[in-house]
Amino acid sequence: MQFVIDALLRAGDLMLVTLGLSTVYALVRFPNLAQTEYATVGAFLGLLFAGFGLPLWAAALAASVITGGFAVALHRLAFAPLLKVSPVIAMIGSLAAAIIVRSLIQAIAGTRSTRFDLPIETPMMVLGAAITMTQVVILSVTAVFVLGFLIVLYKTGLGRAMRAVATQPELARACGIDSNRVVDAIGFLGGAFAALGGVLLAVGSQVHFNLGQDLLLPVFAAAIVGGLGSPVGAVFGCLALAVVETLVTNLNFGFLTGDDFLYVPLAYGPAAGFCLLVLTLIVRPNGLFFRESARV
Amino acid sequence: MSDFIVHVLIIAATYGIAAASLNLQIGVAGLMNFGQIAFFGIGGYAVAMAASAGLPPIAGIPLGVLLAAGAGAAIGRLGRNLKAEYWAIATLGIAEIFRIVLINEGWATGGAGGIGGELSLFPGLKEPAATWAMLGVALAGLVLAWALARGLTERQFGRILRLMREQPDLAVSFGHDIVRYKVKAMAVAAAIAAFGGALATSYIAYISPGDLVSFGTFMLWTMVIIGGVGNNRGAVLGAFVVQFIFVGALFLKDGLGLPSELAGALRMLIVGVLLLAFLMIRPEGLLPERLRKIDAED
Repeated sequence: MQFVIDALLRAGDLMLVTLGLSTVYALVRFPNLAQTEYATVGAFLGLLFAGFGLPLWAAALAASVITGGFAVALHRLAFAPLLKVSPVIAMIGSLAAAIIVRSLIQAIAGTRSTRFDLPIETPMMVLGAAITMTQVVILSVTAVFVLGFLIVLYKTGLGRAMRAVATQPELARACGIDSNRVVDAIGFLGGAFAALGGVLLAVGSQVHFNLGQDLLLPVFAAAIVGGLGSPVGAVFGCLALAVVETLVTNLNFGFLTGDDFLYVPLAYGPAAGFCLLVLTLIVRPNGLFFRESARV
Repeated sequence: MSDFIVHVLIIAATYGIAAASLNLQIGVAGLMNFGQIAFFGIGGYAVAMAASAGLPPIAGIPLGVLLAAGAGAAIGRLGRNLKAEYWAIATLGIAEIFRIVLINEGWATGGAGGIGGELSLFPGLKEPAATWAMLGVALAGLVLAWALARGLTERQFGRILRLMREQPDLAVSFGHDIVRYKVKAMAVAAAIAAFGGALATSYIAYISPGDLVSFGTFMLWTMVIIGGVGNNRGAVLGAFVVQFIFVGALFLKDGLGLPSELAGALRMLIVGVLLLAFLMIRPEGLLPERLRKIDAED
């Protein structure tokens, strides 16, 4: 049971950022390496607002809105012009933007880890597994926003327009869909979701200026395992990645060598995730859940 | 002061070797390697580990070059079907796996602390002769790497790589085995980068996983893009420009009296802004790739 909780918590950490990344990719068609920096920006903005005395939910909301706006501005000013040259150039541009954001946060906030000032709780025991109330809240908030996003995507006009632009940009434009507006809206949501994910990380554990870099590979691994550009795939990708990471470090591999105990060192958890990424790319270069043409 | 300039020149030359290698991949062959720093690190660790195994450090150079060539060939083979963006992410992931292995296998690699010690290629020489010899070797190595990269770019091999970059389907229809060319290009480029890494590590006399974070790859990319993607001279020029800007940041820090904690952030900021500015204003770099004339008899 502890295993399930650990895997869920890890998946929850990655979920919101991955969902934003994968959905934005469906529209703009370049992997935005700055997407995970939005989580750092959001986390530090949230900490800043909380420092002003705002309640946690208000700080999180304000941080998400501002970060969403920042994501839209960055896309319009930097990535959209670069995208006209080529997707790879835009990708390098997004890496440059990520480095700039990271160095600014490092310069302003310093290199120490910080977190929200919350009381320390004793974990509850649920079916033999330890989990704190905060963790329950974090998981619930994540689940609500992920579900809400999927409902927007599959039940509303914006979602339909978004999927139309993603699958057939020219046809969508011919039907009178303003694709720039759709890209802005989804870019805003992607940035805001990443920011919320960052705030939740700062609530649950702690954050530092390098958070974006630490998240980059797991998030991309999850997005690619699920199929870049597929929102539902992003959800499953996160779960798959979390299960693999948790499994590798918790399983007793003694039976392979005949020893009583043989555990993979904890630090190899992330490596397992990246191996999953590389394996997925080799076996199914378009991800596990990818469908080229989806019905709108 | 002249000691300091020699130091910067040696570092710039070793990074120039790795930049020339990266240019061969991204500029000529269109293979978007985001894990270049790992090849650099293979060369560096080969020298350091050879020395800790009791061998002369210089023996680590061929070892590292061969290992990196093998790794490059394997990556080229594994990634043969990947689109540019996926190639980039896969190489980023591989470089990170390499770094995690280095941190964890401390018995061989010194773990997160890395390996340091007497790694000079000329154990007999004393200062300052050793530094001057190192400068000579680094510059000679740079010329060698540049000549090799240029030689490969200008002959049939390079033509096929450029065709593969621009029109992969056409290259296949001409009967070129593009997987083989990807493998070869990666093997050669990795070997060159490892050579640069070996020289850098032997000069600095220390290497750790901290030197192999993705920011290293990013710096190499900046060098190639500032210099001019696809232009071998550009990659080398870019390496010197970025290194000297780094030094400039150091003086700026002292001039402004900033704490050293901020200096690292300032460096990153400068490189990031520089790269973004070049991408947006002058994407072809300082020395653009020249259009080549095609000789009918060729």
